[in-house]
Amino acid sequence: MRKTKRALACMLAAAMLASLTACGSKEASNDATTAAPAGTTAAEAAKEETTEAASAEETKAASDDEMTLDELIKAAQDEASAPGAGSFMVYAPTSRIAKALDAFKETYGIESEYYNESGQDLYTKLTTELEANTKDTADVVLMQDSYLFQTQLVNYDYVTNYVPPYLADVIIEEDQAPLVCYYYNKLFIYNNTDGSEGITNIWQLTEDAFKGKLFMKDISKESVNKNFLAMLTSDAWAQKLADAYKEQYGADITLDEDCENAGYQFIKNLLANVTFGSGDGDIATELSNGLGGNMGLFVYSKLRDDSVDQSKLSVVAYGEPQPAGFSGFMYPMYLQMVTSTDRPYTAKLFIYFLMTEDGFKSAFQTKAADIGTYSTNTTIAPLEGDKDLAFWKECLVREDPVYLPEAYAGGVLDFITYCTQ
Amino acid sequence: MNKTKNKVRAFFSKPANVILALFAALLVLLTLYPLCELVHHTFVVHATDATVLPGLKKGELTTASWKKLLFTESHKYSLINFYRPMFNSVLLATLSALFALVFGGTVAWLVTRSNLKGKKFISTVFIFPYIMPSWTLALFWLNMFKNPGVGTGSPGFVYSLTGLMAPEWFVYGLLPMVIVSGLHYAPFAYIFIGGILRNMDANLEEAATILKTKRTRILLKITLPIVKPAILSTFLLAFASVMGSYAVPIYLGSPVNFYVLTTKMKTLQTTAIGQAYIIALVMVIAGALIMMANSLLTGTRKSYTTVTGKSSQISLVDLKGANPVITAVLCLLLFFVCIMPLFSFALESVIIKAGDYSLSNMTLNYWFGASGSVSTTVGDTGILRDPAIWSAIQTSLKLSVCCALIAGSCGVIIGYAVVRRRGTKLSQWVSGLSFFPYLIPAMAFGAIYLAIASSFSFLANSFLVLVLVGSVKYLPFATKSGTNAMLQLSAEIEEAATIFGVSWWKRMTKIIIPIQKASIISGFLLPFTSCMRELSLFVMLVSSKTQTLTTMLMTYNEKGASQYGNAINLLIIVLVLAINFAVNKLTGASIDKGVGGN
Repeated sequence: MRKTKRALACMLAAAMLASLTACGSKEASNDATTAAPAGTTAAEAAKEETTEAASAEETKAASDDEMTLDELIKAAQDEASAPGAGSFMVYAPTSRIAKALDAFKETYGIESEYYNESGQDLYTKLTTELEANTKDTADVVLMQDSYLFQTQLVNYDYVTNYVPPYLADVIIEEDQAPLVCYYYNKLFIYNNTDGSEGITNIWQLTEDAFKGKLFMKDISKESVNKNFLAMLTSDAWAQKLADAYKEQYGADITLDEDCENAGYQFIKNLLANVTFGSGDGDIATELSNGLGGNMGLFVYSKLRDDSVDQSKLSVVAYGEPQPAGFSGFMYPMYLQMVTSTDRPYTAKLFIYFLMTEDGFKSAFQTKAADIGTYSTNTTIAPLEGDKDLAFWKECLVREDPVYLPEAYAGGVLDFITYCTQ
Repeated sequence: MNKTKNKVRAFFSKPANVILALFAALLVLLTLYPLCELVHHTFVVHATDATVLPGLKKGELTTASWKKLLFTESHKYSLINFYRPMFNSVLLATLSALFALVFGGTVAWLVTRSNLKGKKFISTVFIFPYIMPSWTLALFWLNMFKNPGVGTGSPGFVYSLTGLMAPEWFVYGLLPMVIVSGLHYAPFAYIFIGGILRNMDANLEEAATILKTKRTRILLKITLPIVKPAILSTFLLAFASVMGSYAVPIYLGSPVNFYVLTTKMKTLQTTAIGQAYIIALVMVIAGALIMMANSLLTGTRKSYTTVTGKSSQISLVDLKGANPVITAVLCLLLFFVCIMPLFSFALESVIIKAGDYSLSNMTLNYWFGASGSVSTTVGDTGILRDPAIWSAIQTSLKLSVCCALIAGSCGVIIGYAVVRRRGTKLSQWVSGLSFFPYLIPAMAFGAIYLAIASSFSFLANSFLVLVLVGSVKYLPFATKSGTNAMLQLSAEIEEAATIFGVSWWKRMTKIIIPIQKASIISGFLLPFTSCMRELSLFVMLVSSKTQTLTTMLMTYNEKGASQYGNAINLLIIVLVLAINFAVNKLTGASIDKGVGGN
C-alpha cells in the first residue's frame, strides 16, 4: 500500500515537474520564436524589397496582360522556392478546398495550406488577421455572403479582383467583377408523399395550410439566409412579389402598416409559418422521413446525399409550371486575391486553376452526386440531372452586394428578427 | 528602509506568497487584459457596425452600439435582441444548474454515503454525459422523442418503438434544454461534492449520531454546510457554462423561437459585432455577480477542515428496503441517459438512410470504407481512412494533455497558496482572477485571443496559442478542485512537517499531494475532458495543420453528414474513456474513483 502511494507521489511529482518544465520550455520556445523574427528582420527587409520590386513588376504584368500562362506558372514556382517564402494559404467556407489544393500541388508542385469554417467566423478570423498585419494569413480567399464580402473586405480594399486573362472569354461577364468562382443554390423542396403537389405560386407558402410545415436553417446560423430575405425588400423583387400576389388572389396586395412594400409583407407572412432547423442536412433528411406536403428550403446538393430518400422529395423549380415569384435563392462564392499577399503570382495561378475545368472538378464536382454547384466558367457543363446556371438565375433570388448594405443600414434585419418572434 | 526590506523578504520567504504574487501577475496578463479588450470592443465601431449605424466610421469610438442594443423601441428591437434573451438565458442557466446540483449531488451522496448497490457502474457511467459534446446530447434527445406531431414529423426512436407521441413542449423548448444541460453538467456536482463527501471527517457526524440527532438534521446541519463551498462552486460553474452554451439552444430552442443570449450574440456577430461584444460582456457580468455572491457566502464562514491527521471510518447510511428500488431506478435512468446515447451514436454511424434500422440499410463504410464507397456532401471514404482525421486525433490528444498538465499543475499550486494565505487580499484576488476565464463566453474568449495572437507572429495559427487559450480557459476547474482539496486539509499536517524542517517541495510532494490525490487528479482530468470536446473556443484559432476532432465534427454536422458526425463523436468519447481508464490503471485514481467508486 505504502509502496503504491510512494509510486503515486513520484508520478504526480513527475507530472508536475513535467508540466513545469513544459511551462519553462514553452517560454523558452517563445523566446526562440520571438528571437527568430528578430533575427530575420534583416532577411525580411531584404525580402520586402524584393516583394516591392515584384509588386511593381506585377502591376505592370497585370496592366498589360502580357504575361503568358507559362510565365505565370514559372513566376509562381519561383515564389514558392524563394528563400523565406511564407506558406501559401487559402481560406474557404468548405473543407472541399483541401482537394483543390491537393490537385494544385499535383499540377504545379506548389504546396499550400487552408483554413475552413463554414460560418461567419471565417470573416472574423480573416479581418482580425489583416488588421493586425499578420504575415501568416490568407493569400487567396473563397468567400460567401455578398453583404459581408462587400462591407468587410471590398470596402477596405482587403481583397483584389483578378480575372485570369486566359479565361476571360469563357467566364460569364457579369460574374467577373468581382470574380465569382461558382454559385450554390438553395431550393424549395417538398415531401411528395400523401399526394402532395407542391406550389404554383410563392404566396401559397404564406397561407395557413403551411403553418409549421415550412423549414429552413436558423437565420442566426447562416447569414446567406438573411440576405435572401433582405433581397426580397428590393424594388425589383417587391414588384415581382406584388405581381405574383395579384396572379394568385386576383387583387392588389394590401400592406400592413409596418410593411413598406410587398417584399416586407411577404417576409412577415412567410416567417410566421417557418420552423427553424439546425442545418440543411438535417432538414433534408428529416423532410424525406417526415410527413407529405412539408416544404424545406435547403441546398440542392443535399438531395443526393445517401441519407436522403430522394424519391420522396420534389424540387418546386422543376414543377410544371414553375411557381410564380421564385423557387429559392442562390448565392455566389467570390474568389479573390488578398491585397497584402506575399505570393501574388501563386495567388493568381491558383485563381486561374480553380476557374479551369480541372481545378473546379477536382474539388467541387468530384462525383455524380455533386449537384448544386455551378461554375461561372461556361465551358463546365452542369452534372447529369441538374440545370445550368442560366436556368437558375432565371428562377432564383440572387444577392446584390450593392443593395444589401443599403437594406441592412435601413434596418431590414430588425424587421426580419421582429418577424421571427 | 531596512524595515520595508525585511518586510518584503519575510513576505517572499513564504512559498505561498511567492506563488500568489507570480500568478497574480500572470493572470492579470492572461485574463484581465482580454476582459479589458472586451470592454473596449463594445465602444469601437467595427466594419459590420459601420453599416448598420449610419454616420460612423470604422475605428471610431462610440456608445451607439449600447444605445441601439439596450434602448431601441422600434420593432421591439431591444426586447427581442436583448431583454427577452437575457431573461431566457438566466432562467435556463439557473434551472439547469439547479437540476445539475440536485441530480449530481444526490447521486454523489448516494454513492459515497449510503450502502447503495451498483456503485461501480453508477460512478463509471455518470460522467459520460459530460464527455459528449453537449449538442450531441441534444441531438440524442431529438432522435429519441421526435414524432409526427412536431416539426417535420419524422419518427424518432420512442415513437417507432411504442407509438407514443411526446408533446411539443417535451421535445423542444425550456424543459428539454434544462434536462439536457442539467445532465451534461451534473458530473460537476458529482465530482466536486462527491470528492468532499468522501474525504470528510466522519467524526462530526458520529458525534451527532451519538447525541441522537435525527438523520435529516445531520444532513441539513452538518453535511450540507460542509459541502456548501462545493455546492456553490458547482452552481457557479454550471451556471456560467449554460450561459455560454450555444449548441443546445440552437437544436432545442430555436425551432420554437426560444432564443438566448448566445444565439443572439452569434446572429449579431455578422451584422453588428459591437453589440455582440456587449452581450458577451453581460454574460461575464452575470457570472461575476454569481461569483461575488459565492465569495460572500464562503468568505464569511469559518473554514471547515474535513481531513485531519486522524483517520475515521465513514458510516454508510442504510437505505434498507428502498435500496433495490433506488438502485434499479438510478441504474435504469443512467442507462438511458449515459449508455443509450453511445448505442445511438454507434447505430446512427452505420445506417445509410436515416430512420431505417433494417440490416440492409447498414454499412461500416462510414468507418472503414475505401474511397467512393459512400456518397455524402463532404467525403466519400470511411473516417478511419482519412489522414485528416488521424492528424486531428493527434492534435486533440496532444492539446488536451498539454492543457490538462499546465492547468492542473497551476490549479494545485494556486489552490495551495490561496488556502494557506486565506483571508488576505492577494489570495482573494488570485482566486477571483483564476475564475474569470470561465465567465467569458468561449466564443468571445476565442475572438479576443485571435486578436492577440494576430499581433504576435509566433502565436498566429500556432499550436501554442491553442494550448495557451485552453489552459487559461480551464484553469478554473483545476483551481476549484485544487482549492477544494486544500480547504479540507488541516494546516496542522503541514505544520508538523514544517517543524521538522521538511522543505516546501518535499511537503508538497510527500504529504499534501498524496493525501489529496483524488481531488487533484480530477483537477487534471476535468481540463483534459473539457478540452477534448471543446469547440467554440478553438474554432477560430485552428489552422489546417491544427484541426481538432471537434472542429472536424462540426464541419460534418454542419454539412449534414450525420454518419461521420456520429462516428467522430463516438471516437471522442471512446478516446476520453480510454485515457481515463489508462490513468485509472496507472495511478489508481480517476474521475469516478475520486468520489468513491472503490
